[in-house]
Amino acid sequence: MRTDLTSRQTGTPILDWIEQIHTNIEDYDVTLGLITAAGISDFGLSGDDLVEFARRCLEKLMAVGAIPVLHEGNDYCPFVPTLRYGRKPEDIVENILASWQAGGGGVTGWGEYSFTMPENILPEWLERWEQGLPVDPEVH
Amino acid sequence: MQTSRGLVEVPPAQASIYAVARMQAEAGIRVARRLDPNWRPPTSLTSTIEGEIAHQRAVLRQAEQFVLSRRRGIGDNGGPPLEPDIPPRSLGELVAPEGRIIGIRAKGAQDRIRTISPEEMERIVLSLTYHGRPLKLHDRYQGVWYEGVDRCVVGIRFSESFGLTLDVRDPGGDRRFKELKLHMKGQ
Repeated sequence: MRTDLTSRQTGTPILDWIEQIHTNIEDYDVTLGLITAAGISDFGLSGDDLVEFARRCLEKLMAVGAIPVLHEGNDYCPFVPTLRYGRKPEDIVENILASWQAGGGGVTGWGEYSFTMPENILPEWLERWEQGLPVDPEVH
Repeated sequence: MQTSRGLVEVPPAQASIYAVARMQAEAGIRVARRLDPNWRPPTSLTSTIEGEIAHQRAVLRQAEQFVLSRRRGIGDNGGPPLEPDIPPRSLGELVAPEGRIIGIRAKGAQDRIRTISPEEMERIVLSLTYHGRPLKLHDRYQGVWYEGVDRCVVGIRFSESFGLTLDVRDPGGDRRFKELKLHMKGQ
């Protein structure tokens, strides 16, 4: 992947953009849809370069402690941590990339392949996820 | 959240619906009072958030009826009563009226998060909600979704940390705005 690209919209260097990906989460989430849309429209990426860009963004999210979540929660917390893509960071990255590519590899929709930070998840759900246990918002 | 009856605790989604209703009602009052400075909105004694939302919608309806009654026969184009003040706009016209996305980027934040002025927030919310339609998407979004005139889909929600926030769910074809997040300055 070329590392000398800058955003067509804002001039942000691509490596800075990747480095700051987690700041999108705030008190909500960030998704693969944002990453792929930016890769395509802001940096003009496609094919293997787009996959590599997505990979680096996901690795950054894992490095800061972000957790894959589903938008299947309740009024108190919309984000349910999921083990669908594994538990280890490297598994999560590879499984999400594989799932995304198997689905066509385009820009994904709202809430698909979503990540948030632990502080945005109900503590009891987080505890189960950290123990490798599934979370069912109707039960736990 | 702050309502006309004081501070009440409400679920985030209802707080968002109330914020939209109140913004629309206040716009209606402004337009009505420009035609008649003595125009008064209906009063309410409600103490629930549902009652507050219904009241704000009643204020808007009465303001629209008043504006219509004054404009009838003097160049009325038959469009929504507040349209001259709240024009329909595409997402691009709302968030990037001069080509570049409005607002400022907070230091250290990603460039898809922008902080905009209260005036810009009001302009976007009013155009989107007055001319668009609310969507029931049956997801867990803690706000309210609107489909704009260009088929974009934008969420309006209250964030405990960042106040009134707009989330672009579907940019309606322009990927530059995909999952763009707009916060209002000074909250």
